[in-house]
Amino acid sequence: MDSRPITAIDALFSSQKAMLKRGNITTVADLMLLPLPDIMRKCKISNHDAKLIVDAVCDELAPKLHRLDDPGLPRDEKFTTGDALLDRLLGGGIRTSKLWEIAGESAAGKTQLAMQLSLCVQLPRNLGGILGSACFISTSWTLPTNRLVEMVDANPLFSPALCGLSDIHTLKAPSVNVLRHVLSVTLPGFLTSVRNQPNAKPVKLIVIDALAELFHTNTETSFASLNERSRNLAELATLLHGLASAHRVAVVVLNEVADVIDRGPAPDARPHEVAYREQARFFGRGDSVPGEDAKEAALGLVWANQVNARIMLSRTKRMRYLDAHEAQAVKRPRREPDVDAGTSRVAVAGQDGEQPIRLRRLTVVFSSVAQPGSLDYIITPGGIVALPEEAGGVTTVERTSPPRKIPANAAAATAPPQPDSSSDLGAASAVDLDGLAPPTDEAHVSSEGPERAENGPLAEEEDEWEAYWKSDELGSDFYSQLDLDALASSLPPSSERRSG
Amino acid sequence: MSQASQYQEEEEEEQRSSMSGPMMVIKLQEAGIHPQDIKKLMDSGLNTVESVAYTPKKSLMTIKGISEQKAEKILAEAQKIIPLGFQSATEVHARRNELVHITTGSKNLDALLGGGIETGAITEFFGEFRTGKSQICHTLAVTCQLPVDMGGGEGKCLYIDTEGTFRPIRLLQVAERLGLNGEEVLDNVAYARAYNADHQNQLLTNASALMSESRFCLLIVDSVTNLYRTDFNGRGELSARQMHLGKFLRTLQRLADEYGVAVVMTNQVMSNPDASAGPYAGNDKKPIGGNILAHASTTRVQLKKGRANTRQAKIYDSPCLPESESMFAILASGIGDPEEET
Repeated sequence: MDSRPITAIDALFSSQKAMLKRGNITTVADLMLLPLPDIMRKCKISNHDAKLIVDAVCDELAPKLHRLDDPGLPRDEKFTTGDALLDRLLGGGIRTSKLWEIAGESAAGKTQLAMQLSLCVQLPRNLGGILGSACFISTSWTLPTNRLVEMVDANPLFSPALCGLSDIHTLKAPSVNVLRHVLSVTLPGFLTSVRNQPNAKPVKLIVIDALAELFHTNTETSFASLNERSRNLAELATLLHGLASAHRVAVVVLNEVADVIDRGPAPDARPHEVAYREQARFFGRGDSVPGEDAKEAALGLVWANQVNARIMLSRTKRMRYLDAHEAQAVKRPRREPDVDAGTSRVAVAGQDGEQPIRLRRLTVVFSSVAQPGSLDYIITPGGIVALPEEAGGVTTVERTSPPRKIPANAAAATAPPQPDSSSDLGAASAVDLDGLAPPTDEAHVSSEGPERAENGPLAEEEDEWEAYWKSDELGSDFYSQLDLDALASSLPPSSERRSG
Repeated sequence: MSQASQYQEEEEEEQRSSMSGPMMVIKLQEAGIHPQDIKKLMDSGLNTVESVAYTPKKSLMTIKGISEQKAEKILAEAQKIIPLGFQSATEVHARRNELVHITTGSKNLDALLGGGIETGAITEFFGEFRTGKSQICHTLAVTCQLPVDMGGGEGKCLYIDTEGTFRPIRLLQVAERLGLNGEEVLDNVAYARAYNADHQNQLLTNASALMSESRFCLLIVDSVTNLYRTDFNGRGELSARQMHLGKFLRTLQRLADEYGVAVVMTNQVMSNPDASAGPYAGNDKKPIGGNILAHASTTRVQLKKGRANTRQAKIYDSPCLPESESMFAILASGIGDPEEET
């Protein structure tokens, strides 16, 4: 509450100040917290006088209303994530004054994305940055700075002149108490001091890597410990929101995931009652590809209510060879490997195009600035690169989980037929049935994709699938041309194979 | 390494550590904490000021003889001593470049790991039986004693064994290859066998005390999940198991932070029950320990069997290494490269 002394309020006459002083009301808080009759009694003044005083003080203190187009109004800014597709999905990039959460399993790329953001925020405005600096608060390991250096080297967007390590400030906060101390004392002071330095970039991004780790220490789950966790979370979130809006910084909090365990219906569930865990799937996990909903963000409902946007990252089981032009885009000049980093890393770098690369999936589960949506991405030496949906969509969606390295020719066979080849489609399919039974199996799996995509938010995507279905329709003379004998001879072995 | 030079190095080490290394809890005495209380802190495994500052008040109060007021005072003093300010990543990077990496004995594997096992972090090796997990541990227990310019850490090794697979004879064979005195090598390895999960956790408290006495640079846990697999059964105890494991791992991380030791742990695998039988499903093995373990390890390396004595290592998760593979070999004298054989 406002503890300014009454004497500092200009709107009051000196006689009125004297009256208040007589009643032992010295600060604004004292005045505002007392009901009118009490003020009258304490200061021995009339109802009218007391009302005048209170009105005058309220007038003075009330914040002015602004029109949204007021040019003097401080505005939220947004900065790029370093990838145009990802920016579009997030509604233009990362916005300041908001609390963003990036959740994901181990090795999904959370830290990678966070490090990329802390470089992007430093870029000049014409490159999508906002000329800021970043604070990286880690809870367990120290910031992997050599990866940052590698990103700067390998990504053409970054250059040592524009962004670098000197504008990333880091701190370790290994317990809740320390983090609370940092957020309430250290950080506000630090933000102000950086802003007051003439040549320093103001802090525009705060990263916490990873919040859930702080809450692993409790030995047993009980009502009391959960209660305390909720209190801590709410407290930290309030501090973060306060920092975000007071200093106009973007706050990105990394979170871990927990496995979703199907426990069956709750024992005491009443009919028509939707259990919490049923609802939790709508805000706790992504569901754009099969398998993605096996993990949900940790820290429960309390935390989910605090974040403005939740981004889920997951490793999918899909591997894919990059097309030639993609490989070109991904493969970037690498710096000379260190002497002690030896030979095999060079060899690895040379194989980039030939090794199948793991596709990962990013889903915006909810966001206050963008629609939910998802995309595939890969991690390259230069950072995270989102794949365009056309390229990503072709890969077969697998319902079964064995990690299949799709051989190049099989992947080609599963690709949807081109619309212009529809005239000889029948013949082409017959060849498929004769020779390549397993790939048709995969093609079948991939055709399950559209049903899931119907829920997808992107209208364009649906159009695309419609086009795909049209192109997939068989010619009217398909069945008459089909060589049933050849088919019969080829099918039994393949079905045996499938059942075995 | 001769005794004299070792002492000299230790002295230098002392001087260096007084500047930046772990700050011993004795220092709290200068801040007006009673020596009796400091002893209590040390008895419960809090040997450095950092560890005290980072301990929740609630845990301090569980120590016998420390009341709430005392705990508050100790915390306040400890947090005063520990500087809690922001550093620029440039400084962190400069210090990182000085980080010691411990060689595994195989050049291929070192290259894969970006120079060797990183100190101050947790490295996890997982794979089936016979993939070389314990062999890597045995070799590391010796190589960590090498001088820094030979790829070692000039420190002792602490070996926590849960499977009963520790064989000192292997250490001697590795020592012979590296030209070290076998007896000295064995002297420098502190070995403890853990018999249940609680015991395993308790050993870390002892480890902390040992580390504050002399210079250790490696802590090995082989294997981290074995006892948890047998001590906790079924889904009913899953939550308790993960909590217990989470606490163990946090203590490991704390030791890595405070003393700058490298932590190496091995992990077992399970076949993925979700995987349906199919042509490609054969080699799908998942590390156990769930998300808690996955998040805790800094670098995860998957080991697979290869032809004859060769094994394949693959980076599974790392904040700074690309996903890549390389081959190493298990030789009579520890871990090496496949080419070394002939």
